[in-house]
Amino acid sequence: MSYIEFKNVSKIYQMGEVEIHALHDVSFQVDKGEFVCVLGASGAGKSTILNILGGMDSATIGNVIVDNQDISAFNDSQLCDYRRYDIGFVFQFYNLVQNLTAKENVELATQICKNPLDVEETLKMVGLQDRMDNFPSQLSGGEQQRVAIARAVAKNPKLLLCDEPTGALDYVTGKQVLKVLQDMCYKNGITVIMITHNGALAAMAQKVIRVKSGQIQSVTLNEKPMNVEDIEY
Amino acid sequence: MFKKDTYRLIKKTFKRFFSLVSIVFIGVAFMMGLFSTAPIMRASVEQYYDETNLHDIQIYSSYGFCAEDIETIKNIEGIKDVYASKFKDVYAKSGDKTEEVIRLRELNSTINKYTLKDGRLPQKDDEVLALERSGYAIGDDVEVYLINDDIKDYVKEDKFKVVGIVDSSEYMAKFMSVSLLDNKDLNGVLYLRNDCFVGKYYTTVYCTVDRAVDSDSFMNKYQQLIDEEISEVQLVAAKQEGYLKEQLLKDYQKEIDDGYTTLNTEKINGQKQLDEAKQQLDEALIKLIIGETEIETNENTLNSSEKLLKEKEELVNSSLAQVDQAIAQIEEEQGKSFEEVYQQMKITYQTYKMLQQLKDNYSGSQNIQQLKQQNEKLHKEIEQLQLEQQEKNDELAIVEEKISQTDDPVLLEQLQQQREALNKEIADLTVQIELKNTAIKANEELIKQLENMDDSQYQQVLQDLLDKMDASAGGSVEESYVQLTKLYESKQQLTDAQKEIVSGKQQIEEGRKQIAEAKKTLATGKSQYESGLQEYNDGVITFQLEIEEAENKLKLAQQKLDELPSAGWTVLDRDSHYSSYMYRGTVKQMRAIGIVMPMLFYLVAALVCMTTMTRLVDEQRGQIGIFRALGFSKKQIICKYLVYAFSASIIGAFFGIFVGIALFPTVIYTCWRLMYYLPDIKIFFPIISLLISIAAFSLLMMAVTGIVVNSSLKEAPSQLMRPKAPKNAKKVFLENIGIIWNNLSFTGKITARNLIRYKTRFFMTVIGVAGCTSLLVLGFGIKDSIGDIVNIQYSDIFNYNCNVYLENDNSINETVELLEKDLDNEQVVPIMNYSSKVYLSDDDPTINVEVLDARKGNDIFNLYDRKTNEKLKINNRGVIVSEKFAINNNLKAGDMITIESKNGIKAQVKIEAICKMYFQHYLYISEDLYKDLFSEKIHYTMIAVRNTDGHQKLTLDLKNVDNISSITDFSAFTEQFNTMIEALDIIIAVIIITAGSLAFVVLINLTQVNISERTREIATLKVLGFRDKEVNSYLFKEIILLTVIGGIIGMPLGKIEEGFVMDVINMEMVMFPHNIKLLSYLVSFAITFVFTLIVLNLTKKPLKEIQMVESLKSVE
Repeated sequence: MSYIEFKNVSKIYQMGEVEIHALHDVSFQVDKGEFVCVLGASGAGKSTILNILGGMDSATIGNVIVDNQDISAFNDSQLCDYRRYDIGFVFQFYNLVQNLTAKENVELATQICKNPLDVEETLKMVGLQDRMDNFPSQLSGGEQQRVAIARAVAKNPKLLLCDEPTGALDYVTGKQVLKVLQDMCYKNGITVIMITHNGALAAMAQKVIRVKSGQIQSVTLNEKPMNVEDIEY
Repeated sequence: MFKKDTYRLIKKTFKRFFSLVSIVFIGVAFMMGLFSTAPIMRASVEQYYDETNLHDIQIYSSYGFCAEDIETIKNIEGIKDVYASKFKDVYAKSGDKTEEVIRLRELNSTINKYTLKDGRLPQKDDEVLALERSGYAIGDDVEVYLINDDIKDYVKEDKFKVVGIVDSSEYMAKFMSVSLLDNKDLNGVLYLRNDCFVGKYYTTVYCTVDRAVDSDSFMNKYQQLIDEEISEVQLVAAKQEGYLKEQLLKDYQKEIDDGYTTLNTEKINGQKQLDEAKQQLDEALIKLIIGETEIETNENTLNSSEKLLKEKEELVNSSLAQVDQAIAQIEEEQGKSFEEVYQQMKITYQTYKMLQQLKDNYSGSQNIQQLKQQNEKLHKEIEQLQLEQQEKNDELAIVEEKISQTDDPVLLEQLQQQREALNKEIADLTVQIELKNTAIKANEELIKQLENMDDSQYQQVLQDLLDKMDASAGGSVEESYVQLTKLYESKQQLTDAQKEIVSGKQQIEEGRKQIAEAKKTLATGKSQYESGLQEYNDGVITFQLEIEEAENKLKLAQQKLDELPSAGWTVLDRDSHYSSYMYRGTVKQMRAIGIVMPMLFYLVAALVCMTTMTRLVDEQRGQIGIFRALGFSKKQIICKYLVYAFSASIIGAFFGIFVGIALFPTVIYTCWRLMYYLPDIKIFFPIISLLISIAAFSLLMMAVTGIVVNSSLKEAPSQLMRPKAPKNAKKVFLENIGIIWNNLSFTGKITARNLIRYKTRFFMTVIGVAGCTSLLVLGFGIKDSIGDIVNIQYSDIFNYNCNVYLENDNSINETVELLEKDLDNEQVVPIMNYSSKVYLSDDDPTINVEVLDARKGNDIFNLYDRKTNEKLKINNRGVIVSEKFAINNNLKAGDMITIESKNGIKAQVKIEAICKMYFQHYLYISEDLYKDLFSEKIHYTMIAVRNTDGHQKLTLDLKNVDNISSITDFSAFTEQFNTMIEALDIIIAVIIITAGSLAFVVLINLTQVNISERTREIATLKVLGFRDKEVNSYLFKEIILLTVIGGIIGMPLGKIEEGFVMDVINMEMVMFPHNIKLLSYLVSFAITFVFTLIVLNLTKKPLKEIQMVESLKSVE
């Protein structure tokens, strides 16, 4: 059995009289320690997958199994615990707390989970050991996103979910961030699921799930994922 | 286009717009509401005053007013209407209500008119109108009476029927007035027809003032012109006030003079009568003395005659004894009764004599003849005697018969005596007859002899016979006869003498009886005289007493007349009129509060507006950038937001005005109706303050908006189009203190940094919350300051609760002893109390002087220094002065002041200390110091008593002591004050509501802004797995901390506000301590906190509703 399993998941939004099928009978699997890229155009349903996987939303139909737990059956507080202990989330716009320093932003996450990593170590890992005491506003976008990744990783999650982590970053910075993510997966063995609309990034993933109009278009395994440094987009 | 955009903006940001409208609405509503409450309360009552023509000036006089007085008052310049009125305070009985003190007043009055609420006007003398609050209903029968006085001396009727119910502007306050009956509280008022009042003089005069007609009586201007008018009236009063007294004095003096004249006449008449009586008595006395002497003389004579009689009796008795002895001897010798012997002898002697004659005279024939003649004579005598005897027998028969018939023992005895006497006489007569017969026989024998004899023989015979007779007579017949005759006569005489003596004795007896009688009469006379004298003496004393009494009465009357208090008119304005005064105070309080609270709202509104607009402009920066990029001028852009702010202000203000003015004054006025009998509210829109408040709010909002937008516009359009760089986070000073900082949780750190980061919000919230707390502190503080002072003064400072006022202190020691005997009386201290002027450089204020024994005084007055709370002792070094007086006159301990003695002697004395005191001004001085200062004797005027049962018990104790003028306790005053204090609860309720809304407005705005600004952050936290509670506390900590800071700042702020309000309602005689209890601070803080918690609770829901997806959105 796979580490993460989407079984016939549908997500239906009721908009007045009209039913909108954001997801329609989606099924896929992810193994532990895999680097997965979910590709799709805007509105294809990739964010919905991410939301459901991240415990921020739940499936209307179908089951979502994560590490032998059926999270689709969770109630709100179970979902909250799930987010708290099992998920690390990296936002497109970093979503750092402006009032906290880099280190404090990481600590913010670690204080609520069970087996956090060492905060300073984690920041070192993302290469920010010198900027720990800076406020987000004093950091560049890439740096901020690295802080965000540190924050997600420090929780020692089962799953690292990244929503367009480079969407708000320039090319160079974006690459730096992606490098960090790849390292997290390959070096630290964290399962990473990254959502992007940028097909070029698919090359760095071990598994690429293409989504279109709320349905899985294809699931491709990439035998030799590329290093981030080698990808051009 | 621009208009459309503005409209759209409003539509789009409706929530924000609405919050702006709301704050303006609430601000204006409160501001206008509270601001207009005082004027509306004022105007409603002012109109009522005008309609009922409430007096501006009232004049009292101790002597009443006469027609001339009224005329004079009418002529005073500036006086409009004058109404002289009579009233009388009486007791009333009606249904089960008894002994209620009510005031009877005149029905038809041009001033102080009532308004008829129900029923009709009285048409008869026994019909009345009742003030609504008196508790009478139409148709009730009321009987009025006085206790030591005749009601009919004052009003024609004493039984009335209520035919109508009225309201009066004169009696708005719950407490009407103190009556003139032993200062008891008035329970009601009845309006009688004017002519129902008996009596010549008016009790009081009401006036209205020309210039005051259009002047608002709550304004200083009114007070000013009334003050002027009062001085005018006082000028006239000074001239006229003595007039009636003089008239009355004249009348009274005449009465007294007449009294003296009458007294003198009566004195003379009485003396005359007394003198006459005395004369009669004297005459009687003389008569009595004479009578007494006479009796004495008579008695003496009687005694001496008695003595004589006794002597004579003795003599007679002894002689009689001798005679009787002789007789007895003879009787014994002869064997016959002496009478017989004597009669025999007599006959014998006659015979002898005849024989001698016969012998001596010659012839026997002759003698025979003679003898025959003698016999004839004897026969005749016998016949005579027999006749006599017959007569006696007849008499006897009659007597016998009478005896047989009578039953009366006295008469019987008399008759029996008579019978005996008669028997004896008859017996005597028989003897005489026999003797005569014997003599006749002897003669006849002799004759026989003689007829046969010659002369010689005859002679011889005769001689023989004679001799024989002599012989038988024991010698000589003649001698014997003489002897016997002598004896007989002696006996006869002695017997007579005896009889005489008996009658003499009887006479003497009679005399004695007479004397006894005379003595009796004399005694009666004497006792009569004596009682007469007693009567006279009593009469004299009574007369003297009566005269004295009458004289004393007149003297007293004269004295009273001479000592009559100087006639004085007391000219009072409405401040002395309890109802007006109280209401004025209330309006004043409302005004003070109406100023303090709206100011806070104004400030808070500005801050709320600033926060909201800042947020709006931040959200709109992209738009603004586009407009700028499209070439719109700064002005145009600013204008858009100004229009936005202005429309919010106008809409908010518009509704705020209506709601505020309709709601607050009505609610507050209704609340005050619990305390006052008020006319219907007259709501009006005070145009000027209305415009001012709208303008103030609009300008404020626009100014704030202008500043905010302008600062945004400083940025280049390109920058504007990009998201606003997040405001730099700064390290706060706390971070330097590692111990604290490291121990803070993240939320704590975030909170700390946020507070520093958003200063506007910080100030808005802190000021709002501080305002809320301060208002609560103000409310509770007012209650603390006012609420307790009565209890502090009358149970803490005054360690006694009853005043026994004395008319004089003649029997002070006995009274004190009597009071001390009752064990319920814990303290009994006599005090001399009077009021004295204190001569200061610019003013001579009056103070109550209490002269008392230092030791006892320290038991009964707990005088404390306010600051040190140290007990002050009354001593001989100086006086203790009460606090408010010292404050009013800028005095301090150690100052020298000049005071007066009771008799007006001035002396300088040192202020030893200033004592805590809330009502009235007092100066405490020890008896010794008083004596030292003034060398005057102390005359106590009252006794202070502590008795747990109050004054009723004392009244019982002292019912037999007559130099007591009144006994009172403090309970009436305390009760009255406490009802007044209850009214403060209304103010406090208003304040709590205000404070609450202030807190809500600010806190809700704060949370709203915080949430909208941090939606992303919150969503992120949720995604990170923060639980709801943790998310809440992330936001709430900040609000709670702000609340705490605001609360802490609010407490001293409240103290300042309270000081301001108390200064506004400051009273001359009353010391309001600005002490707020710790509890009040704590409660205020707690309530603020509760408000905060309520807001936080309300915030939980929108927080929970924030979607996590928000975190995925791009920054706007």
